Amino acid sequence: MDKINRRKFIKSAGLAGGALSLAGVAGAGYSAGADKDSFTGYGRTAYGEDQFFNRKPFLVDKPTYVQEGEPVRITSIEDIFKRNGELSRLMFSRNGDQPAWKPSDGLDALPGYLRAYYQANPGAFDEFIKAMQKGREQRTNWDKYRDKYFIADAWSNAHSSPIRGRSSFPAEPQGKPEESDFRGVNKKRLKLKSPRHGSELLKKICYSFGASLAGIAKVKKEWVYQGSLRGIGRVDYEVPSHWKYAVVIAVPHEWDSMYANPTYGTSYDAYSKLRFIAGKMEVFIKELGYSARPHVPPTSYDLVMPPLAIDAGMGEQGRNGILITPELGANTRLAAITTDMPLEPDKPIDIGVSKFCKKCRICAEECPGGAISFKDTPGEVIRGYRRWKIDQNKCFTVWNSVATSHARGCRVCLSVCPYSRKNNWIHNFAREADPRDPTGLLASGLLAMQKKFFTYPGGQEYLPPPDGNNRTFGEAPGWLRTEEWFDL
Amino acid sequence: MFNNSNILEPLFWIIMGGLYTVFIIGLAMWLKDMKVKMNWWKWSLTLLWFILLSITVAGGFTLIGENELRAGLLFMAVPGAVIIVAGVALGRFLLRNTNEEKDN
Amino acid sequence: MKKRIIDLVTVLAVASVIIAAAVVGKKIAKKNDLELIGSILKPGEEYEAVNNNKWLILHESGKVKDCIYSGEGRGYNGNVQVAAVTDTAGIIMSVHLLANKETPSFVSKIFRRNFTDRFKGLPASDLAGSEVIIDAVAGATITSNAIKEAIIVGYSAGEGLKHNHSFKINAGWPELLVLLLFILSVLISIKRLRAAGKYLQWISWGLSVIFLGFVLGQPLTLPRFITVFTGYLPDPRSELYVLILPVLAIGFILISGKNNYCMSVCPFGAMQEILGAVGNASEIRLKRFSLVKYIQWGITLLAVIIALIMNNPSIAEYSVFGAFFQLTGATVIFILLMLSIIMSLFFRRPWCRYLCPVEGVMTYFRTLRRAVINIFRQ
Repeated sequence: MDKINRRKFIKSAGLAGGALSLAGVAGAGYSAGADKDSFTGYGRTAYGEDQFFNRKPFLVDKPTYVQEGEPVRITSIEDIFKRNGELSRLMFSRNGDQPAWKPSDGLDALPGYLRAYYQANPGAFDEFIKAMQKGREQRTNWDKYRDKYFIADAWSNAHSSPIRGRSSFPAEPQGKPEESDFRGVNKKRLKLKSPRHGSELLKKICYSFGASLAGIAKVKKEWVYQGSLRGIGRVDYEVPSHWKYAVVIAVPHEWDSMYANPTYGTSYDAYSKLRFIAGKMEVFIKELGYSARPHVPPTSYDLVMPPLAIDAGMGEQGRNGILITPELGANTRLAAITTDMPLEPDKPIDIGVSKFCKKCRICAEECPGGAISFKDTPGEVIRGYRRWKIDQNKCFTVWNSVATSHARGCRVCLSVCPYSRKNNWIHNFAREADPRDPTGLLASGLLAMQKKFFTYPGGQEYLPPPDGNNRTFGEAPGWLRTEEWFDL
Repeated sequence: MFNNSNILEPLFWIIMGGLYTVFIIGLAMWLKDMKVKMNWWKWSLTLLWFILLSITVAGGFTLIGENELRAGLLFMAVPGAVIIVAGVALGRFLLRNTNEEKDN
Repeated sequence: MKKRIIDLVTVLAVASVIIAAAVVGKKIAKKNDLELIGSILKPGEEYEAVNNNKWLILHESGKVKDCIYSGEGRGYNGNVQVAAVTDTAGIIMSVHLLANKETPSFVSKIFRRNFTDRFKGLPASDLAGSEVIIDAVAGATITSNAIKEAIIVGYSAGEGLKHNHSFKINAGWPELLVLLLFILSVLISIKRLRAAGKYLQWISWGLSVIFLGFVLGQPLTLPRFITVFTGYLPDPRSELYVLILPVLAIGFILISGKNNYCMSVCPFGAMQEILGAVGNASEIRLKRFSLVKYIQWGITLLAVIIALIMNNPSIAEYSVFGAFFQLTGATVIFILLMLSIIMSLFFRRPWCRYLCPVEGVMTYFRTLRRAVINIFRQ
């Protein structure tokens, strides 16, 4: 009798145990998902632990971008910010003079080099006029949205404060690179054990300054801008011989605000962080006795960052033109320091991003400006490399359209990218398993789930009314929502 | 479960271990009482099924924790339906011989 | 004798209610073209009609600013009316959906996927000359193609060009599959083939689930019957089997009185049979079976009436087929689907028995056949 009762007890306990264990994994799963500490980066560790993905199995000799024909250096005027910078210098007088040019003067009144760009790129000028128009609408409509994005705007402005003006850090280079890059270099230099030691050390120091990812690349001349050089101005120049290697660093945006793009997020959080790290790296390398030149956001670059980072083995290029890394996905912001210190470059990696992007197209579907290509395969050869074309003009029009206090950016293509995910068990499974699957079936399956299960508002929805509904991709975190802290 | 606690987190997994032990012992008794003859591969199939069920539940709730309610529910519903169907099939398979005995 | 009269009365009553609903639906005013075109203009813009398909947007000075071309394409449930705004050089600047009867989730999917943006910057003449390929949105192919067709039709008609209506029917494996499934359904019902019939039945169910269900994803649904009833046929060039399916299903029931579609061809029915085999499902006998059946048919009739009055067949969609085979649909439908799946492990065909709208349609045609035959017998 007693024995039967005990048996009965164990049997029912077994059932209860099974059910409770399921509840347990449900709870463990929920907290793994909700855990804010499973976001990568943001100074959680100073020892490189954020670069947690083991790249060794995926190292390749040749980067995954495809060269076709002779590489051509990008002229600075081809970059929308350099181009807009030139235009704004013409449009807004600095010291009370008459503006040299206004949009109604038209294309023909522009200086030759600008006119040449717009003539070679039909539609770009109209798009610029449209962006100006949208910018005016953005400023008039800002009153309507000011309260809602009060904290987000303040937060962004706080992040941008170290970037504005002459006193920003690191200081802009002055004069020729042969002078400015060597200014303040320690005369005393110790003998480096080996270039490998140099690379190891610099990466460790990058991490200690707060970089999430760090890599070393050899400077290829085709990644260097042509037509203007910081410290000198508009000039055609050969790549200085002391720009031998680049230390490339990456940090993410704060994740919760990044998911709430375009209106709640900002670019400046990652920008200011990168400037701080790169500026300190400049000083550190100079203290070791070698030349150093930081290349930092938003526009203080002499090199194009994504291909350099691909060379440094940090990731691959995505359909959205952004560097996609295994740890941060597309939520990757880049800076670099060029130096003549003897270093050992990292090898590029192939984790299947370029294959995945062919199938995915989520960023193209979600882009509010339709600036990202829908083509099956990279459709155009741009400056000697086959890639998907990003319409930077359309992209910039969206900057001027979304409900922010000024053209502060959009970044929706960072948020929606399936690679931009947390460092937890479920996403790590995808991270580790997908690049090891040669058939691509897993990627297709995961992508199907991504598209069917997850909610994507769709490109137009991110725009303000009447075009859209000011949607954000993810929900804004409580700390960015004005209504939770202030009486409205 | 308790991400920022050094004490509760290990305790949680110790308790989970206990629950799994009780569950497996209890399951073995159930099967014995139902006159199911188990061997190593039948056990592995049964446990594999339970692990898959656990992973589906955990995965769904992970997505819910990431603020993706719809994705989480669908993640549980779609593979969940397959797993339930597979479970019924497995159950019938394991109980097949016992039913025949009864019929005879 | 009595049953005959009931049959006849039911058939006539349902038919007259449906026709009445359709008449009411048609009468509820359809917006005219001018109103629709006016809705896409910005306030203060003036326009001028050139012909039925082309309008000019004018500057205040009376100069032509942009052109609007409007045309219709054949969608899944009805014509899709689309306006394309081009600049004076014929470059498409924006595409607007003016009117449609498509399933709302498909339409929103098309917009969410930036589909209309894919036309921006293209010369309309290139599109009409079909020199450009525009990928349809996955899962909303027919509607995507209808939008493309509507732009081409609008531009060609507006410019007085001849639109090349190449009427080539591409019959491919989907059509063969549908024919094969119906042939199999006939073979299975032949009594002499009983032993082989069982194997054929399983082959048929397997083919149906995999290809008609998961690959093609378009089993018969209520909106399909409604569109056929209102005289709309989808473009036979793109999806011929979508037409063959209802014709064969109703044809079989009218000729032989047997519901071959539900028993053997329908992929969800087949799925339930497979699940039933897995779980060794049993037949259920409800006490008030006929009452439950009347509720099931009543809901179907109600859905048809509402859809006809609202003039939008897609409203009548409440089946779980889309949720099961394509993962689209509302949460309620997903709950219904989960219930149906779990129930069908233990009971045979719970969805068909108590919920499916198509079964109601089939029963109606069977009753119709019986009533007609009885009249001739008299």
